[in-house]
Formats: sequence, structure tokens, C-alpha cells
Amino acid sequence: MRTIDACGISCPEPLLMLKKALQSESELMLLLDGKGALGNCEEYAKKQGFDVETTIEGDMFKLHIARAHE
Amino acid sequence: MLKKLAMPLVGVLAAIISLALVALGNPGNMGFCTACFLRDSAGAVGLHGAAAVQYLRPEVIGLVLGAFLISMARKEFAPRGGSAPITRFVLGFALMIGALIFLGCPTRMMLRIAGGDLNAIVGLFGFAAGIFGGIFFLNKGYSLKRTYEVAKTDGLLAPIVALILLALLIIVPGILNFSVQGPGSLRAPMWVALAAGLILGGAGFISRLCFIAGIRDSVLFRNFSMLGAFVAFIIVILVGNLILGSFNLGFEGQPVAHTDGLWNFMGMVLVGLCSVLLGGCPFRQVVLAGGGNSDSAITVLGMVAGAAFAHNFGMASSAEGVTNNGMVGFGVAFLVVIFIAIFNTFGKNRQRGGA
Repeated sequence: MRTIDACGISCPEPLLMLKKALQSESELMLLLDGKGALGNCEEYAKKQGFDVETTIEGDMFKLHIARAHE
Repeated sequence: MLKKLAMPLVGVLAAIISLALVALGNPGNMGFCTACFLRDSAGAVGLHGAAAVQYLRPEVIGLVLGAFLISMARKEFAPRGGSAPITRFVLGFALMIGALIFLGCPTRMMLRIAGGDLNAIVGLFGFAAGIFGGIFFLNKGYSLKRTYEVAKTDGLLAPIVALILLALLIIVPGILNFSVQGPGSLRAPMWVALAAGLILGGAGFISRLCFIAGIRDSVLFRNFSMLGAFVAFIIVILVGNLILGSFNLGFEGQPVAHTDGLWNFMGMVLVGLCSVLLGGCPFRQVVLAGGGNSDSAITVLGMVAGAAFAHNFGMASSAEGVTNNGMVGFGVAFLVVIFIAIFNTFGKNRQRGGA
């Protein structure tokens, strides 16, 4: 499973990285460290039909994103 | 439902505050213009000698302190920096050259549109063109690389400087420059302006309000929530101006504006492009600086320096129009910005996180 580390990357690049990755991946791990990017990425992934499971590790958010089963 | 209404409501709040500030004394269609206020503040501390635009605007101080206080209260104060600081300084500088050719930042552009100033519609087309240019580079991989956690003092310096400036304004105003005529002489009462800044700084931090994100995110992600704030802001100002009798449709005779269409367009191209390359509009940069982002603090310093240079070297427009120096300044700034964009998009050593 691919991991995208978007910690410290400024807006809107994390979402752009996610958008590009979701065009080819059905499951990935996204690492973020900003609440703004977190909300946007969760919302975007869900809108595209993916399940998002977020865990917090210290200052970092780990988003496990996988295509939702019908 | 409430979540969907949140952004338009922030736009409404910003609009009401802007209308109130103009009603209480701020210049026409300039209730809240971050670029104009940074320019006035640069003049107040003697960084430029344009006598008509000198006043240490409490709104800007309030923006920084409001964002700082809210970020502390929410435990979201994050001292971060180190993402191409000098590049950001230069982009902030160039942004200000563009803003002072047009005569306003994105916020004032919307205020001018809602006041009936058709020159600002021309500016809006330029602004959108600049944003599309920035999106082109973003889609090709443009990045100023990562920010890193920095010492807490690094993040605290912007709020501390804002506090010192506020102290100067209150305790020893005599050492500052105050315009006696022109836009700098038109001002809402200090405490009202400060309160307005504090409220908008706090609201801006929580909502992440950004006046380029409206168009940028609609195009990039089909996310229209920020555009909602943009539209709500214009509608409320428009209605307010109609009620207050300050709506004046046309190109001629608009407050602190000129009618040179080409340069209204080009000025805002530069503002839109630089804002996208910076990741946020001037308002957003000031708010982020208050929240501990030292990259944004440096961007703000770049804007202040840009304003000082624009006036010291006759590059800023006036109601009479754009100047020859302004055109030359625009050309140089535009070339430098394009160089920055290309190098940080296609440069060999460039890398963004990931994979």
C-alpha cells in the first residue's frame, strides 16, 4: 500500500497529492499534520467514494483511505 | 447543513465589518483591504514617504492578534517555517506591486465590485487569470517544499511585533506618521478598527477564510464552500451599499481607483498568480502569521517591503492612473515570479513529499 507523506506541505498541495493518487490507487495511507488539510482530504476522499479511517499519532494524522465497498 | 452555511456566514461577517468600518470613517470601498492597510502601516513607520497613505492600521494588528489568541485558545498555535522563506518574501513583494497597480488586494477588489466600481470587474478577470496560471503550475507539480516545526519564539514574534506596534500607536503616536489628507487620513475609530481586526483574525483562523481559495478550489477540487464566502461577501456589501446610498455604478469617479483597464487587469493577474504560489491571499497570510507560521510572517514582511518600494519608486498607481515606473516594476516583478514558478515546478532538485 502506497504511503503519501504530506506533513509540512502547504495548502492546497496535500489535497492535490491525494487527488492525483486516488486516480490510480484503490487504497493508500496519507500522513498529514494540519487540521485544515485533514478536513479537506477526508471530505474529498469520501466524496470520491472512499472510506477514511483517521488515527492520531502525536502531531500527525494517519488517514487510511480505501475504496468503499458497495 | 450548518457546516455548509459556515463559510458563507464568515463571508457575511467580514462584509458587515467592512461596511461598518467604511461607515465609521475608513476610505470608500476600503472597509478591509489587507494590502492597503499594510501599505498605510509601512508609511506610518516611515518606510515610504507618500504622505497620503500613512497610518498604522489597527485592523492589521488586530488580525495578527486575533488569529494568535484564537490559535492559543484552540491549542492550534503552530510555530512552523522553513519553506522557501526568501522566495515567499519575493512573492509577497511582487504581489504588493500588482496590488498597488490595481489599487487593492482581493478583498478590496470585491469591495469595489460591490460598490459598483466596474474597473474592479476588469480586475476580477485578471485575478481569475492569475489564479488559473497558478493552478497550471500547481498541476504540474509546483511546490515550495515542506515547512518544519520551529522554536516557539519564531512563531511568537509576529504577535509580539503586533503588540509593540499597538503600544506605539496608543502610547507614543507622535513618533508615527499620520496622513492629514488622502486615504490614510480616513479612518474608523482606533478601538473599533482594532476590534474589527481581532474578530476577523479569529474568524479567519477558524474558518481558514482565503479569497483565492474560492476560485482555486472550485477549479481544482470542485469544492465550492470557500466560493460561498466570496459570493456572500459581495452580496452583503452590495446590499449594504444600496441601503447606505454608497453604490455608484460605473468606471469613472470611483474612490481610490483608476480607469486603466489593461493595468487593472494586469495588476490583479500578478496578485492572483502570487497568491496561488504562496498558498493564500494577503488576508490569509496575515492570519497565518498570527497563528505561528513564520513563512507567512516573512511573506507579510515582503508585502510591506513591496509597498514601501512601490511608493518610494513611484510604481504605485493613483486615481490619475498607472505610472511608467509601475509598468516597468510590473514587468520585472512578473518575470521574477514566472522564474520562481518555473524553477519550483520543473527544477531538477525539486521534490514534494510523497510516494
